[in-house]
Amino acid sequence: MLALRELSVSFRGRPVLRNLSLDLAPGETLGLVGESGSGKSMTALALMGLLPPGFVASGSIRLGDTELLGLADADLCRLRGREMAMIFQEPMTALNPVLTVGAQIAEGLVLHGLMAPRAAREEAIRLMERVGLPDPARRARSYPHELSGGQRQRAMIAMAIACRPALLIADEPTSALDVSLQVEILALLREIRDETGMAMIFISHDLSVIHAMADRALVLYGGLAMETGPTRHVIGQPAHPYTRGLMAAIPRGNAHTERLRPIPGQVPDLSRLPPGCPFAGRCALGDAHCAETPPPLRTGLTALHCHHAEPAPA
Amino acid sequence: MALFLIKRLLGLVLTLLFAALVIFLVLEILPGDPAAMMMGVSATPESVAALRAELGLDRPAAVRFLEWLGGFFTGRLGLSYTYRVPVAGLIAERLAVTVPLSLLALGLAVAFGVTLGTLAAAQAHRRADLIIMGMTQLGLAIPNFWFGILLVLVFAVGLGWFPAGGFPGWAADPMLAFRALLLPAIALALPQAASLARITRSTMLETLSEDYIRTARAKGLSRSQTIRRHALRNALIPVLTILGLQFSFLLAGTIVLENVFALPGLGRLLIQAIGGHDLILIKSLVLFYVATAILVNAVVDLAYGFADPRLRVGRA
Repeated sequence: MLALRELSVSFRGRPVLRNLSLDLAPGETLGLVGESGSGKSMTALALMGLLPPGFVASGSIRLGDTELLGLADADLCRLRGREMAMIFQEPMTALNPVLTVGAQIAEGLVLHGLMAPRAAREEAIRLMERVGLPDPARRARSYPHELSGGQRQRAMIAMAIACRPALLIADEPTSALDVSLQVEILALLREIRDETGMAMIFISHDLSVIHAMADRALVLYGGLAMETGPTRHVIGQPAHPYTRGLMAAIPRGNAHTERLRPIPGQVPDLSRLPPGCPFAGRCALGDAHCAETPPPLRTGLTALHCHHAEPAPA
Repeated sequence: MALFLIKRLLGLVLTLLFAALVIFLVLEILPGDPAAMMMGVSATPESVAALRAELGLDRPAAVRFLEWLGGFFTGRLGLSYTYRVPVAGLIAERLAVTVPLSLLALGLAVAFGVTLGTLAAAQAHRRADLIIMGMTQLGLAIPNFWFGILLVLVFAVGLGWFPAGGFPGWAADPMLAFRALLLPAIALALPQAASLARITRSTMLETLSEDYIRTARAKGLSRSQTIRRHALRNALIPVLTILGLQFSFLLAGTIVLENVFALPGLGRLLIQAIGGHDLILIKSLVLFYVATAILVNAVVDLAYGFADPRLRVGRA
């Protein structure tokens, strides 16, 4: 349903995302994992055709039978919100402060010609009820500042699923919320996904969230896919030194005996990435060759880009 | 909300009272006896004293101050000594020119300023933006009385499309009256439109970088739909404040332009009253200007609450 081939994004000639290829089937969830600056959000924005000015995408993005790269904005507008929708990280700032929540949810339905304004307003109330907003009829007339953070994120979800898109991109939808709210929102997203059969790209820096949400995981670092495969293999039997490092850095919950092991070094500056493997400078296996030459793809239980590590045999 | 309104209203009344007191005291301290001025140089001291008594100028200042204030409610603001008619009637008659003139100028300034500013922001750093910003620079730099004279030279004297000055009154032919006001309104609106365009551009650019703009685009709205439905109202909230402040400059502009175009409005009346040392008339006129500026800013404050739901008091 969604196919990315060699998708690259660059800013002023500098690559921020390199040769990303992936496929997504209806009903499937892909988890994009990575630290800030790894290129996760850029991937999402490139998919939506909403890259900030100055960013250039190349390669291929096919949604169904449509090639999205190079499509005119007017044609993309017909797809955005209708075929693919997005939930953003910050529920505080992602809603328009001067429009009522109900109006913002109903807007897309009218825009894409699915409903008349009056019917859309009623549908907005139903959607708000679906995402678990209490007293939806009254809440629909509220302004975003009158809602709590969790309620706003629910409203955001209602807005994104309003037109029943085939693909939902959720960019760190729970990172700005309390842990207890996080669990509720994740459960809600999973329910809706299973109900509607939509495909989902779930972006998070949190491996436990990816583990809970995604069928497949893709680990990004410095704009390059490090390792990808079924979530249980990527998390359970990681082969790439970076994925291993990430797993080792997760607290296991025993504060007395455990030593946390952070990955040494710093996330590289995106404007100063080496031509080869972006992780070379921090990697235990890294050598001069790694930083010079792009790592080859090796496939097994998972697929990874590395000069040294081999995935477990499939 | 009610408490907020009462507080706001109380503040308004106090400001007005203070302004009235300052105006009254300044004119009280100024040298020059209005009665002597009216009688001319050949008047005898007896006849001046008689006139003073007739005008009530021999009574204590405090009594006259209160009487003057009361006059704003009863319409008895005294007689103008130069025109020898009641001040209240004189002001009312002149409002028929100044109010339409300022509203027309304000309308033009907002329409052109907001439209051009939005356009410039949508085309930021491209040719249209550079042209619009260049125009606003000129609009700010040109004094509006000079621009008024230029408009007269081109459109009245040269092309003959508009009258060069004067005002035929609304009664005879409203269209003709409107045409008499159009050139001065354009001249008045020019610097206002220029600064509104610049402010709108910068608040619009700021608004367009907000997260909710990206949300709107993600819903499938085109760039121009996003600007119209999501950005404009947010961008205009700060513009509203500036508009309130600018209104005072617009009023000051009417004083100059009514004289350039020989329009019988409040501004021309004020200049004539000053020339004729018509203190009673000056006093009421100045307070009238001050009150208008203060009231307009109070209205802007209230409009703020309508434009931005976050500022509505008493709802949560």
